[in-house]
Amino acid sequence: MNCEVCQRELAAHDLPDQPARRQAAVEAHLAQCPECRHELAVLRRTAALLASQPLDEPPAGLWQGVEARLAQPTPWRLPRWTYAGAAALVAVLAVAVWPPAEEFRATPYLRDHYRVSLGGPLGDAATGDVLAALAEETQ
Amino acid sequence: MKAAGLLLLLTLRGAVADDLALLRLALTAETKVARRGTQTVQVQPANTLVSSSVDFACDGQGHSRREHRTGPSAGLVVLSAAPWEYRRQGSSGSWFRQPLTAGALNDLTLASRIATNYTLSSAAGPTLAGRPTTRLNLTPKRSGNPRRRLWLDRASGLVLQSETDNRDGQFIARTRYEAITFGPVDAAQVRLPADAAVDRSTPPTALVRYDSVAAAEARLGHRIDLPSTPPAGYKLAEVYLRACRQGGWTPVTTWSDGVNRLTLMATSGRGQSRGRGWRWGQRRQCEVQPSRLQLVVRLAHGPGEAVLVGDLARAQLETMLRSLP
Ligand SMILES: [Zn+2]
Repeated sequence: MNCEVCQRELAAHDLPDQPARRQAAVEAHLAQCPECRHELAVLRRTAALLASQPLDEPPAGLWQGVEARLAQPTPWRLPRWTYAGAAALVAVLAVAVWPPAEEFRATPYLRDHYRVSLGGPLGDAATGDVLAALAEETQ
Repeated sequence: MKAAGLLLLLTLRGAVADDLALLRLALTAETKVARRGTQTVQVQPANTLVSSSVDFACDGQGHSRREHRTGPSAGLVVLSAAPWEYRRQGSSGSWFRQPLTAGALNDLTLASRIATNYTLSSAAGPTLAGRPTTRLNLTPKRSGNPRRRLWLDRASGLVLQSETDNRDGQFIARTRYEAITFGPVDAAQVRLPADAAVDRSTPPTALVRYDSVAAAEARLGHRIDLPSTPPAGYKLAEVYLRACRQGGWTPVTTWSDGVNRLTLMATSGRGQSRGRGWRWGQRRQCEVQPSRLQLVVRLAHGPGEAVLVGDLARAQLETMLRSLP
């Protein structure tokens, strides 16, 4: 195991349920590499800091900033026509801006963009699924 | 006085290093923390907020499953097992296989790329899904880029909630866990069943990923034109070829600053527009289709057009398109 591979594994080193073989390989590298030991120390200090912070205000106020910007509170489960409505609005906006004789259809490009560019390692993998489905509905 | 200043500087430097380490913990936790739970995805393409409920499970060893219960993508099941992703609509039928985007892969270099282009800051957060959180803000260093906010679980670093504001600072998307249970998950829950029917054929509008531009060019049989001036902070991320309905392939490249991604696509021709009163006008004039989520900008290029899609200030997208050879 080299330093790059080791440092990639370090953030998960203290997590439970990690594969034993990989943990052993990391331990073996750490035993002979002061640089990676330092890196582990930084990550552990951060994790300790993360765990020791005081709690912020109660969650009730969390959404205020965003919800205030919304025209109306939205029911949790929306009927299907609501999505169609949102999609239609996107389509109407599109038509209003493109030249009228134009036949360009942006939908396939939007769908591919959402497929390859949205949703990722920051906790939002499912967002791309939803946006791609909305793009399909504008077809 | 000098000493106090130095101390403050050291404290600030420490904070920045810690925020980078926080980001690394968050990126790693996404694939390495075993858990199952329910997520809510909210997106706001226009004035209406669109909500979806998603069941999510991850075994902490590279396999995950998400199933959309409600919303526009209801019925969609996605199994991820790098480097592939398997998708099925509904409870029966074939699974379609496609490459997992690099955006879904962890990398140590991703954290430093993000830190290069975004200012990281953290603060105590509220309790989410019963878990205390720390808030990590990703504020773009350059204007015209979207902004991200993450709420991390204090015990594991896992992102429990993520929010995105678009290039103009308007809210566009939020994903959050409503409920979460940490610990091992049943392998059968997150892995593709051994007897599953997988459709490996190339669908009519498939995207096929290549490891390098050279590999894609070899398949294509000619050079792929790349812009010389991508927006500051953005680099080529991936290259795909897209199958055309009319036959043949066109190149697709993605460009990333670590958080935000742009997709550059070529069209094979402008045949559809011919003879319908369509006047192209100046050849180097960009056409723009705006939306709250992203801009679609296109420009005549070669025998067809180049189309660039992304959530970034219009001028930066136009400059990138115009820098095509
Ligand atoms: Zn090392």
